[in-house]
Amino acid sequence: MNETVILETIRASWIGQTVRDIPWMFSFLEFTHFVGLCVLFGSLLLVDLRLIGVLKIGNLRSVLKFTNWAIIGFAINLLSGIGFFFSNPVNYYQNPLFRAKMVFVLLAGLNVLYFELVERKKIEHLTAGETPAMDTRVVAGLSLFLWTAVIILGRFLPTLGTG
Amino acid sequence: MEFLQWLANSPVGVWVSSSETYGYYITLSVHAVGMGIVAGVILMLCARLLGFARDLSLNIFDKLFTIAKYGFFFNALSGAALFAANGVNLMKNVPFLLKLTFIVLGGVGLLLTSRSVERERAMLSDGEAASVKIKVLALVTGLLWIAAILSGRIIAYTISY
Repeated sequence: MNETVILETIRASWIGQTVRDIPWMFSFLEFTHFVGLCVLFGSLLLVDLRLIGVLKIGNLRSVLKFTNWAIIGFAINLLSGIGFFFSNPVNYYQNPLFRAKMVFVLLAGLNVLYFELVERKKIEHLTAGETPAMDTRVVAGLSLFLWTAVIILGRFLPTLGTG
Repeated sequence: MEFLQWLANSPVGVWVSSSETYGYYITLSVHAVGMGIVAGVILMLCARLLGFARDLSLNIFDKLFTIAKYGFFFNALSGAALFAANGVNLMKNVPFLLKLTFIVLGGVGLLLTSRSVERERAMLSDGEAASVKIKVLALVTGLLWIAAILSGRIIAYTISY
């Protein structure tokens, strides 16, 4: 199967049809995408700024519970994002800014993976007032940078096509 | 009306409207990141007050809200720039007026919530459940900010240029 066939199959799928056929569906998904953005970014601000050391209050075990909200926010945006993409896959696929956004989402995902596999066990025992070592702080700073870039790239998508 | 027209012709209004400078998208990007900071931090506070991660000291939100205030400042600025470019139509746009109303009400809700939290602070820091009053205030405040986001989205579908 070549690209065109794959994109056409995605477009013809029930998800693509549903988002195109129900008039309010696309705008409803955009609304949920924005709420998901807030949940994801808000929880990451709390967690990452605590890891970086800007916030010093709170033991890490309690703060890290908020990564659950980051997962919820990401899940909302993954689902709504799939809705956008399936409604008009060719347009998104051809948009260089969409590709860049997906690369940044992927990088942010790898950053999370590294945090979970390597960093989390180093810091869970830290109590109020203790700031993690430099490597953890870099991972946290990278997380805020990458997700900010994702938001900005998302807002710029319409300059080069659909979005 | 003359003032709104003057705003649209001002350097800021022209810069946001002009497609060559990407002024509109730059301003929207600032507004979106600011939204993530302001609404995001508020929603996390609401979650905490409603019972999530009850063992986390509420004091951590003091500094976080100092940062959120910068976010709000940048969104007031970017919002004013977006308004400058199209104030004539925005003043007639019901979702826009609703959005401003929800932001004011959401701000009042946040103020009432934080005042009640101040009164119960000692108990709340010990991991005790917040009072029903605080939970209701937190829930209503969170919903008001979500309503502000929703009406902001609807502007995009109802505004004329």
